[in-house]
Amino acid sequence: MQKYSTLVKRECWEHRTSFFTVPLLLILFVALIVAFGEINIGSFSPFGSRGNNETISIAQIVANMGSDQDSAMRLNYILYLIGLPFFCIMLLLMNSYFLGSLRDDRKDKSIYFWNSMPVSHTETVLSKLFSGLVLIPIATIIAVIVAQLLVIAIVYIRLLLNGDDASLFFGNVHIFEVWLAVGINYMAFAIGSLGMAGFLLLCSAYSLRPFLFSFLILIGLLVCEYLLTGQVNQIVMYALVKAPIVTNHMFGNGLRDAFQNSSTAGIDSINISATLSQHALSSLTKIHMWATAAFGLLLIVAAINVRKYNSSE
Amino acid sequence: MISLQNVHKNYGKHQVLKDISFNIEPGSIVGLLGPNGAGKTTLIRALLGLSQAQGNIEVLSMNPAHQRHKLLAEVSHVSDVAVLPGWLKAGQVVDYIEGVHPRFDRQKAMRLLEQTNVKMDKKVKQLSKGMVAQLHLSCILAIDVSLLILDEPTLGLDILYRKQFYQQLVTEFFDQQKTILISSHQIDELEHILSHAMFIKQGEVVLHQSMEEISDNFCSVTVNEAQSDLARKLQPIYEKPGLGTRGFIFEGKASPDIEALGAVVTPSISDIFTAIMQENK
Repeated sequence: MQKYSTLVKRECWEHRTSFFTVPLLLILFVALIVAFGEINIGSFSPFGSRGNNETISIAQIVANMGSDQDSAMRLNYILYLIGLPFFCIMLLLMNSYFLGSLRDDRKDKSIYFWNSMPVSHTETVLSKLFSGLVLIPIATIIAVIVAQLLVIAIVYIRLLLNGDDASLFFGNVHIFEVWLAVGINYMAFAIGSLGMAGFLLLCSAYSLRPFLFSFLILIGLLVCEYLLTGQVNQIVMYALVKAPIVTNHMFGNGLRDAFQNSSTAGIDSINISATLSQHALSSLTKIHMWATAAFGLLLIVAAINVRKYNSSE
Repeated sequence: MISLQNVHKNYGKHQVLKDISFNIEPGSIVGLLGPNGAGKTTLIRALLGLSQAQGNIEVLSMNPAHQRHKLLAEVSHVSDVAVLPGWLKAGQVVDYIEGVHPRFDRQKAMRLLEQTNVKMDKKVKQLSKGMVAQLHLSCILAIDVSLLILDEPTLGLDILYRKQFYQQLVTEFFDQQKTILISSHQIDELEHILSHAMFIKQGEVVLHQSMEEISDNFCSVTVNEAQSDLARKLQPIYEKPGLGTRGFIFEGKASPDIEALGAVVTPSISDIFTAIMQENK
């Protein structure tokens, strides 16, 4: 266990910027947006706008908020939406981390030092998988939580300044339900990401130019899929793109439908965690999702063996 | 401790290790000596399971190819190309090895590092080449294992630290239960600590003897130019020109004919090395 925690610590030392600095900068970014900026949130119903393509800024919503239950319920969704930019950046960081993770030490020749320690290639690859699939998301989720608490604090101060009853308002802000929804969506994302993670790790273990290599392989796979099935978005795109992104609400996909469905049920009856988790939970019942995860595990085993071969020859 | 039988290794059509067989017993310091490209690093990598080779290799009763990371828990190793990553801080190098190596003694490492100029909060890329080597070697010497394999460990170090390192190797690491296999180009500096020397030439072990055997099996005599022809008739394996003199190295015990030429001495390892490497070149 000590060995494994050291391997993960080593990843944190190496990728401190990706793991910690970027989420901290994003918190600052969200604070600035809430305080000064505007975000186009489209025509999502929970914000009181029913018109198509109407733009409302978070700052405006926060500024207009009263102590009523409706405002509090809107805030629950705003809190969830705050996570979207964080998760989009997280996805980029994860992809870039996986692509470089088994290449960088071969490129700077530090692999000879790492290989001189009693650490198996399996342990190395698994620690990198854990760091990419768990540590980066956890750091991101913590940053999202901090940003959410920051927004709550801004609203709370505003209510106090207006002389409104903050306790009545916060009785309807279900932050734990929002966090539960984030957790469930993350779980679906992590399982759906195994295919992508395995593919990127394999490219990183094999090539010294993994970005170009993975891109060319992806194109090749899509061409093969098209020649065999006449379509390009069923197998390869599902495993590498759809499974991590489309099967959950982490990146905003499906949120509009979820909000519209919930608004027809009336705001009083909305169960926030259920509304925001339904899509992710249903995706976990689909065979495609688990087939992708199993395929991802096979690719990870291949990555371990390719690394073993590359470091011995 | 180390046993090799009929070990071969090819890179494509090029054979880098040719039918290598030898045993190394506990309590020995073996110098693995050979010119560039002789196969030293390939042999060391095969011993550690870092490279595949044909034949039987047994290190500490383990098969390196199949038990690499288990073996590396019992063996310390510094590779000539081992580069500590530049982004790692010196303190993190210590933390890392402590975390992954069950036999690492942190206190000993810190004690050894205190004798150097390495600052623990500095990144490796901020240290000089010599300091990086000091950091790496101090950490490696703090690992309590029975086998230490060093591949050009003092490359890039100045002579003061090289001498300090070889001294530390004997005082801090070596005892009668431990074994050191060390490859180096600095043969003269290494000679006084070796118990055995192994010469490798074009992938073949051409000499593997204890220092006592070498002393018994090689002799050297320096003669003036006038006696050179006489010396050559005794079939020396090496002839070294000097200022008005010629040094000759002979294989085997000094015969009366050789003794008649002048004072017979034991040649240095570097002279024997040069002699054997140039033989039938």
